[in-house]
Amino acid sequence: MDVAASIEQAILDRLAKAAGAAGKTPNPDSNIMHYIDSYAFLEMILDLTERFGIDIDLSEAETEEMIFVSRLARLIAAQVTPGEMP
Amino acid sequence: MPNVLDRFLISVDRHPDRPALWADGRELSYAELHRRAAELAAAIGPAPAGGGCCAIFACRSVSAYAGILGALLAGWTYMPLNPRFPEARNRRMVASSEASVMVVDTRCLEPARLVLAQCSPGLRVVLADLTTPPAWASAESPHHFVTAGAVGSGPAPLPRPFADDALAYLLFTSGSTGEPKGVGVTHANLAAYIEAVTDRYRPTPEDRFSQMFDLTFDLAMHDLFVCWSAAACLYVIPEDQLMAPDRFVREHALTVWFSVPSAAGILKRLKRLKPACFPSLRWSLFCGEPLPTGLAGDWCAAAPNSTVENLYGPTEATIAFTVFRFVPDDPAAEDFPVVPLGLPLPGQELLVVDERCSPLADGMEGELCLGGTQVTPGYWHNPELTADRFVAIAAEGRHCRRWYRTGDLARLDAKVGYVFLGRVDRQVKIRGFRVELQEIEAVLRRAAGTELVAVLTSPPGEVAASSVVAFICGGAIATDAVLNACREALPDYMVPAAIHPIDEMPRNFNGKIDYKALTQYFFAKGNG
Repeated sequence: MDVAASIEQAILDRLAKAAGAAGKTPNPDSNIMHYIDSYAFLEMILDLTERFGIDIDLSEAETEEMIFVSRLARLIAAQVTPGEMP
Repeated sequence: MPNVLDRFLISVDRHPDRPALWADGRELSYAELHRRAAELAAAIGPAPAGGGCCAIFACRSVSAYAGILGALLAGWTYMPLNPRFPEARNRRMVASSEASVMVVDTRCLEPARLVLAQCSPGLRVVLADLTTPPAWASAESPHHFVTAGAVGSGPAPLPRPFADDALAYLLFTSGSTGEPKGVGVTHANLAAYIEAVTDRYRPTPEDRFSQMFDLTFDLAMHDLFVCWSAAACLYVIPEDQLMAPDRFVREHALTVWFSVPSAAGILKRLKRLKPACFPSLRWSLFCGEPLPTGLAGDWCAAAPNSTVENLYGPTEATIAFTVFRFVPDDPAAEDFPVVPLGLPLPGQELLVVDERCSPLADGMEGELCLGGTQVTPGYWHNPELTADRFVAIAAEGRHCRRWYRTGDLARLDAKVGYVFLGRVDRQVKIRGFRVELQEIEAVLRRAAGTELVAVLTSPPGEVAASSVVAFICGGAIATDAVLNACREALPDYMVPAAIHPIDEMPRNFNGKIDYKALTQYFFAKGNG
């Protein structure tokens, strides 16, 4: 599994946990904000930072890059320097 | 004193063509918003002579805001619901409020369908955005459905003269018994608050207000009614952009920011709170939880043309009750880890009392009590709790005789006014939302089938935290099932981030759960 796919799966797992018994199933095109609020979004970013050892920088990101699962995964993966990820 | 509806109508009269609302990606003028509100008022129908409650099941849409105004135009008390709340919680709020009318927008159609399926029959349901009802709202439904357009616009209904003690809105907050408790806020309470803050902030028709709070959070009422009192424009930040609203603020050149400190904290953690990134802001207001002094300083740098103020107040005393103006490097305030509460708004009074409700001398630490025209009549249909929290105290040097006991510990500092010191009970703020930890424990007991449950904030001991963690004692705990039960009963911010099964619940010498020992256990396990 490549880096973007690993990150994407981690995001999907997080959203699935939030969805719980509600019956919604997140997919790569899902809008993250339909599953979690802004605080949970930040917690997810901090978790990803720790889990993948990446210094995630969203300071200049566009909203659309942050709110969709696959686009966020690609954005974060692009910040990984080769050999950095554990 | 004019009520909030009077104030809105004056703005409509004086500035019909000025923008009143930006929502759903479009702008409505005061005349257009009034027309929409009048349509919904006609669809809602007049309130009964003794008053009644109109539920607003709408979220961040034009219909949500027009629905509130429409309910007021038709003489109702409004009670917001929240599509992010579990169906059971919204249903309990409808039942407890005895709402007989509900306004529903497109976003909330599905959650409304679920709630209505379990409600007592006979609700009048206004489908604000539809011209024809959906199939589930058929003739067989026990409720009566009306589409807003079906009634026709017609002439705008005249505003009903509200008695001062009539309830403007009814909100539900977390309750320590396991059930949310209702707080009714009168038109006189709300008018007193709006008068005080419009006098303080002097908003003008040129101002552009942020609207970030859910309508179930009373701070949203500040956004709506302070803005519309000034004929200014309310900018409803789209849900997708709430986690990073900085671009929206810049694009729309907002002039007034109002949020919980956590929202600023998120921007900081995402590295989006940069120096001078908010040049258009002239007021930056924070409320709902303690404001860290360092964060306030960062905000001052980000919004160099704005004045930063920390507001404080519980729902029971109408939105906000005290205010402190933060100035970077102010020697009087820089030693405090969180920004002081400051002093009361005009016409309101504060008092610090001991455990027996006896007034304490200035400077002593005790429970903070609030008195004045903003203090509400009490809890909805709960005279016992009202008698416990709203008490008569005669205090030298104070005019008020009726006080609301906040449960907040505070003391008066000669230089900065009142200073927050913690809680006398287990009420906490999670991401700015007020939470009684006992309410979560009640859900856990039912779900886990054991009395031996406990909840701590995460990190433990924090009055303002980002989440909670739960401990359940005994045998094999189906943690996933318990978490799902929590999600079905509690708003997301109250659902434990983790459940820790433990072999034995620590107890103190009285046999009660020892939360301090539990906190130590939590840290010893390598958490926090």
